[in-house]
Amino acid sequence: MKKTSTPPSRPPRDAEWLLRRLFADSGDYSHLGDFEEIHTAKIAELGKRRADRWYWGHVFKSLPAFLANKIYWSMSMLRNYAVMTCRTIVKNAGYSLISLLGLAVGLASFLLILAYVRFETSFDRFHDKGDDIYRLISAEVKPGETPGEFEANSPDPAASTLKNEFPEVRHAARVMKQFNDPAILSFEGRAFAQSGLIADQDFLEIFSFPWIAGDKSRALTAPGTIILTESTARKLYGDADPVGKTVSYAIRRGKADLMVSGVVRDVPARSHLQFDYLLSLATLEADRNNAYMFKTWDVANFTIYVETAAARDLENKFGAWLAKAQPDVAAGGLRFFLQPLKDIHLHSNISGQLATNNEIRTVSLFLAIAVLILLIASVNYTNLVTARASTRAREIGVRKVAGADRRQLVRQFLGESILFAFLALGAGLALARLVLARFNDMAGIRLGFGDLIDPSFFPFVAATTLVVGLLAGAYPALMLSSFQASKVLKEHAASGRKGSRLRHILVVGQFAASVALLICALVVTGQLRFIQNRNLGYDREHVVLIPLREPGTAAQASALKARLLQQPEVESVSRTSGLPTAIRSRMIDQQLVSDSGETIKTEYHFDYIDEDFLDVFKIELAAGRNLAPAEQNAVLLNETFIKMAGWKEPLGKEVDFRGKSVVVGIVKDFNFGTLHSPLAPMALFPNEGNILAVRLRPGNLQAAVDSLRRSFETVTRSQPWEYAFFDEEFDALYKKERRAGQLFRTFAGLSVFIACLGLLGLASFAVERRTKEIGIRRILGASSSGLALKLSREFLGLVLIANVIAWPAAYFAMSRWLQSFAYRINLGWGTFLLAGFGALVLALITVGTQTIRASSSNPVDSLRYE
Amino acid sequence: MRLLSRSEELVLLTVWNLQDEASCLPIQRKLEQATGTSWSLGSIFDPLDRLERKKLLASHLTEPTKERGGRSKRVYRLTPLGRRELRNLRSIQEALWTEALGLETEPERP
Repeated sequence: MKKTSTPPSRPPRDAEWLLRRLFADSGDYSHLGDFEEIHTAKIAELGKRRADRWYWGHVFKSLPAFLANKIYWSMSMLRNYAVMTCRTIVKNAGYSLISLLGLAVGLASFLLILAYVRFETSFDRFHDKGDDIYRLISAEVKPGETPGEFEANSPDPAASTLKNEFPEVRHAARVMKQFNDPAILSFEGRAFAQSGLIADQDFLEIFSFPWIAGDKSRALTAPGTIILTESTARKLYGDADPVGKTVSYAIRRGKADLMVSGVVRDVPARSHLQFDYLLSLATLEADRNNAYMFKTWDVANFTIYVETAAARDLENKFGAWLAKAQPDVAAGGLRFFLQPLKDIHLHSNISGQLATNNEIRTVSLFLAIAVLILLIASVNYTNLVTARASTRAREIGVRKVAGADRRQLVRQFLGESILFAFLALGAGLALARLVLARFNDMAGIRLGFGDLIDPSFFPFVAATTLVVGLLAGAYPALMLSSFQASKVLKEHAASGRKGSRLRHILVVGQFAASVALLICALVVTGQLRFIQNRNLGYDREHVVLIPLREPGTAAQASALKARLLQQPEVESVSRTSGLPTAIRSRMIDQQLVSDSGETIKTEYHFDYIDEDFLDVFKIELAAGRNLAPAEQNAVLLNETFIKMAGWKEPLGKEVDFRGKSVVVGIVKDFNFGTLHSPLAPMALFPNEGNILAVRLRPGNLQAAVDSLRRSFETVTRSQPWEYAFFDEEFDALYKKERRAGQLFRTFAGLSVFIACLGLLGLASFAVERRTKEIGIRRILGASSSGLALKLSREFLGLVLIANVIAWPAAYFAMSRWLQSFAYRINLGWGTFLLAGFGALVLALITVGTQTIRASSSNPVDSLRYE
Repeated sequence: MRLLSRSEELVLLTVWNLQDEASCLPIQRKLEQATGTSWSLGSIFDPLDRLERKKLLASHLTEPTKERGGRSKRVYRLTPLGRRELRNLRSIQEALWTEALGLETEPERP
């Protein structure tokens, strides 16, 4: 036994320590000596080891009774504390309600945001081989630079190369989105527009979407096969077994009968890959019209997923292979990277993705807001309890006289604040449930109440509530327990001035945080409005889009166009494939000859339009002319393209864009991406597209749309009527930002609300405490407005100081955020003044309701007592 | 009036016996000698506490000694009330015993 620190005759130290704890309640340790004496005697009689064992035996024998005793008494004390807490809450119903409401709103916000964060961070975690799955992305890397803009689309041969040349690659899947999404799936007269993906067999090998029926090992190998999700299959076939049945699949280009080769469970919301069906890529490969996208390194049309255990090496090896086998591609600086599956949803801001994703920045921002709101709410509790400490002075005094020591009091008040926090959590849960549907809309997610009380999630919320309780109660507990019984019982209650400096600091903190949030919300809103109202180089109002989804309708396009033009509401109609918001294709390997005869390798965006496109979208020409009707081999370029090529005399130039085209006109630059990205070179070629873009004359839009529908339905009945307003398409571009902005505004508003609640409590208590002073001042002739001002001044000063702190912080944060936009507003004084002034006015109203009531009351009422 | 339990009575009597030496350990030793069974310390602390609360015993602490690890010893002595209580118990018992012994002519069962 190692007991070097214990002299041989002393009892074991740990046992003695335990025993001392058992005697601690009585405060009389003389019995310890008795034990030690016997122990010494036992050593002489039986030896050290058995004496020690005897000592330990006695300690353990006394434990159960001791614990039972302890628990009995602490339970009875706990009951007393609970009763006291409830009485305090009920007695000060108004103040309790203020803290409770603030804390409940704070906890509800925290709960919702946390659930949102959990949702956003749990994307794509359900695949068995998730850690080995990567997405192939590319970027042009100039020597010595870090890659700038990434692109998610890769050329077709990349997949087969990876699989054939590199043994460490287990699978490489090619996936693409149908251009004419959604397609119309029909069976025996039941037809539904469904959106899906086109994928090859490797897709099924890599991802583990739960399989229900069919032969998984060859479901996507053959042309003409399609996999349906469970609910799509049920819609089409009811309860019958869908495998082996035919489904008719219609898009503008054509119609085909496909065979259902398998059924998978519906795709979970937490997946970046979303589909109602999976069409086999072999179907596309079999169609000669699609040959342009296969077996070439020039067209990047596929998202490629790779399953490998050695990603890091693979990137370099693939780069080296590319430089050797495809020097043309590599010479442009194109490099490929492997992006882990789990990074796709939050850590990739790259173009050409299959689904819009979110950003980790936004998610962490909201987490920070949640914590901030929670802090602001707990400060309310701290402030109100400390301000009103004097009202409990007598209770504390009596407790102390009755023998409570400081530790017990601290425990009592901490217990009180924790109980309070949990009451607020209950109210917060109810509140969260109430607004859950609205929150889901705003955040663009689907959460159920079950997600909020999920057993793997709720303990964390409960722990946070506990921390909030401790945090909010810590200072009040220390302060209340420090009262001296002799003083508080003898004198009139303490003045309540105690701790007022800390209270002031906390109020300043609350308002600084709220004002900063408010400024940020205003800037975000301003930037979004700026984007939406900016002169983009095209007119997005009054344009209706009609998709041509299936061959019957597409064949009628000219008739339809002619018919629509006869309507008085219609100004012009264009049959186009591109939209000013979406110039969808990108050529990554284009060679141009500059004026000096040099060959330039470059890339550009392109799409197909007709001669009415510029009219419909009111895009202006900088030089040259528009496309002529039915003109072939002509092209319109934008100004940036010309600048890039460096041509002095571009008009009439014949350029080889995989087929010769004559530059007939130059369009003024317009932003076809989002305003995050700067202008890029663009080319518009003539071809028939699958969208009818209709410009309406200003007027009754709904009536105009109704008459469009009538014309559409007289011409074709093979496709259900469907339309979209172009400005809504435009709005969709900024969906992510708009959502963030709306959430931001809501929570900034809530934080101001909570801070004002706290101020309301403090002001009303200050007024209550000074009732008599106010009465005397009134009698001595103070005017009621002067009094109200005097009472409010203390609080308004705090709000002003808060502004001074909030402004630089918000300025710093927002100027960084604005950096991510290529086109942005300036941070003017206006926003700051507006937010500061707004907070000040709110505070003034809050405090004013109390002070005005007090200062205009009749002094007789306040002085009559005694 | 409530009667003392047997262990309280024995402990009280032992304290009286030991006079000025009545601290826990001597009490334990004495009791073990007298009864021939072993008494744990706890079975002595408890009656001592109770007796003290009933004001039948009083106690004081002595100067700390070395063999007790520098801790003082609690020494008990009887209060007049304690003495009266013991005498009272004894008279009750004797009265009962006399009566019981008067019946001893009856033959005992095997």
